[in-house]
Amino acid sequence: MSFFKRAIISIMRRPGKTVILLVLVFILGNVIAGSFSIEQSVKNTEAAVLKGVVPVATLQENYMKINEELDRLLVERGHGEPNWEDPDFDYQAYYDIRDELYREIQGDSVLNVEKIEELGALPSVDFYDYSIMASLNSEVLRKYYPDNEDSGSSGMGVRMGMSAPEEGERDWFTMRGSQTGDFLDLKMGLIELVDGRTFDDDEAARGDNVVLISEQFAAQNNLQVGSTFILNHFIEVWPDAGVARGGGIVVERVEGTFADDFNDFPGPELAETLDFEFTVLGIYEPNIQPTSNDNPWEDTSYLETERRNMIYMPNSAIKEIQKFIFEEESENNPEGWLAQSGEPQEYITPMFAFRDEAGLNEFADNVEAMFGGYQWVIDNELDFDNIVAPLRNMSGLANIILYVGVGASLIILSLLITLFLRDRRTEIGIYLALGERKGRVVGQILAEVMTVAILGITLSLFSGNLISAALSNSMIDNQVMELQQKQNSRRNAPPDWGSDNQLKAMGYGTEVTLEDMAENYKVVLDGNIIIIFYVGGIITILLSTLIPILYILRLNPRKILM
Amino acid sequence: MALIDVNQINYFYQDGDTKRYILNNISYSFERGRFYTIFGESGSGKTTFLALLSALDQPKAGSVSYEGNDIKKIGLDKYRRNKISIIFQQYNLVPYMTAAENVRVAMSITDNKLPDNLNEVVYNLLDYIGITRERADRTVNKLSGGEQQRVAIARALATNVDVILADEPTGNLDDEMEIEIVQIFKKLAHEHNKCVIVVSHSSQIADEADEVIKLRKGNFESYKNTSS
Repeated sequence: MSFFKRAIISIMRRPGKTVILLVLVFILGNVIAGSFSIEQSVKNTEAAVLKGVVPVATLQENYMKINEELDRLLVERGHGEPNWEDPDFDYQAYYDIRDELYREIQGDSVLNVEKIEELGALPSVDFYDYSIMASLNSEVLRKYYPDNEDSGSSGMGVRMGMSAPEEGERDWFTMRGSQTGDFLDLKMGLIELVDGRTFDDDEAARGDNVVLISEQFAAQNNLQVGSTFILNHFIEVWPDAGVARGGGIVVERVEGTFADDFNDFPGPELAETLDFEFTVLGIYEPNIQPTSNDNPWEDTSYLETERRNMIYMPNSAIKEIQKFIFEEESENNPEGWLAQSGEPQEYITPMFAFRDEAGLNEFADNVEAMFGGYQWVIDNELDFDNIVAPLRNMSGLANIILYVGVGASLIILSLLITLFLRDRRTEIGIYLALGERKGRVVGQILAEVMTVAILGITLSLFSGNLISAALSNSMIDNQVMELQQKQNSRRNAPPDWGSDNQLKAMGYGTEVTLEDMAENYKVVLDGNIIIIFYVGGIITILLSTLIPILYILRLNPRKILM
Repeated sequence: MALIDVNQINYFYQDGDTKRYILNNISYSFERGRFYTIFGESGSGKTTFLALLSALDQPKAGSVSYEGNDIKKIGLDKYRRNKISIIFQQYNLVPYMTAAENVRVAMSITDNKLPDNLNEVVYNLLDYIGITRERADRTVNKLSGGEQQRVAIARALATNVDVILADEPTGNLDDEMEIEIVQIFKKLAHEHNKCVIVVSHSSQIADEADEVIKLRKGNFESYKNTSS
């Protein structure tokens, strides 16, 4: 009679204890299986929803940290807060000090081409590019405005100032530069070339004014591949009464109300018009999903309009344009803000693409090390992180329950098995008195516990899965309802402008909603879950029998039997 | 040659700084084919002596040898498994097993060579000892005390060892049953050439034994030797 047969006889002939152990393992198994299923299902859901989403990131100056540091330095160096009530307060001097301190704080954390290239060379980065942006005007050409045709956008008509200007008025156009013709928007499918071609390396290096325009913009302005068109920069000079500053106007304080003074203030005078000619190399179709948000505060149709009218061209060409504008502004409008800034405007937006989330995380660590926290890494999963937060909360809770369940199982099963063994001291003493090897006595106990436990684990795997599915689906439904109520309650409040808007504006936002997540969320028993649960369950049971086994090994048969 | 030799064994309990001796320099030899009774009052050390013979405990000094080999060298578990069988006053059977299963357990533990037809042997053995086949298939807690002790004896015989040690085997039985059990022991010693050592305070058993060793205050005081 092998020790395993002894174990089976023991299980069959002592049904009370067998049932107690089975029920206990079943209950604990349900807790563990349920929480484990939820945890795994959240992971699977995230993976399923994010499948195919390439992690993309850009950098943005951490203005919050810089401002905190700025305020600290202003106080530390005795400049304090400006006294707005004091008519003699020297605003110019105050802002000069602020500018100086701002540059001091920025120091090495200013993002420039060298640093972008250094980051781009990191092994975690799959592809990188950077864009220099420019904006030009035209009194002739017109943007394509989707609302004019009520074309699938939110259909609110003229919103957010995105209506076509009157005839003869100026419209403005955004140009996005790139180092290469195979730029990220093309690579990622945000736009699709439908006619012509993109610019080649030679054109990019020479800085030719060659562009890619959208189908709609081309149709709006009767342009085709090979067409040329002209955009302008208008140099305008403001009268002496104002001091141009940072794109705004600071009016010298005079008697009377500010509004009256402003209305009386004369407009700018046109000093010169700069013409820039562009050749259409290619025509693209933007891949934009229509939005359906009725909340005017969350309307992003102006971003869509921008994307439908974006003009892509080489960075080097934009640099030349900016340089020329700066030179002309300096000559014709030396008091203007551009001339006063001392250098051509080059707003650089870097873009980095990664193979996976691990690459993105590694990149973020490198950015933190390089810029000391003064640059934010804005990635296209930030949105997703917000959406998935309720699921992750549930997963976190399940994780805690999992650990508590395993801990409780270890303690409760250890105690129960030890108690059962105390009742069987005589039996174990008999085996030892007969000369049985202790290993085989331990083997018998393990076989008994494992047989019952595996039965309990198997039953709990299925029931725990069912319970967790019902429970977690109900939790998710509640969270979706809560989120919807929150959204409704702030219908007429300004939106939470997240720091990911920059990427959203460029079309790299992750269009995932909690409803999508809820739809994708399914508690399923896959092979992985079953294997991990069995292995984890068996290890837990084995650990639970450690103390009872020590008890067996310490037993002295003489003390029990004689 | 003696089957078991006890050489100058001491056993004591440490009580603070003092040693309370249970067995004091005892030596004796036990042979095959003889029925020994170790006789003495309660607390005289006879159960301790049996525990040392059965390797359930170890002497503080001295040694126990089996066929000239120190049982420690044989290995205490192995010695119990293959050289001796023990019968207890409380029978000590596995309560949820049948009589036959209890016998089979012992047979599955020993390394000794046993016949191939174990099932048949088990029932024959139980029958020989007075347990019918119908009773043999009952769980032991449904058997009487006498029957349970018979099962314990059958279990002791099943492993085909030369030494049978019994600790107050009739302590819980009536006189009639005691006589029957004693007769079985005598038969085992004289017909099956076993060395049967029984610890008891029963004079009836002592009367039937080939040799009686009286233990008093940790020493062997007197011996009865009916034959040699």
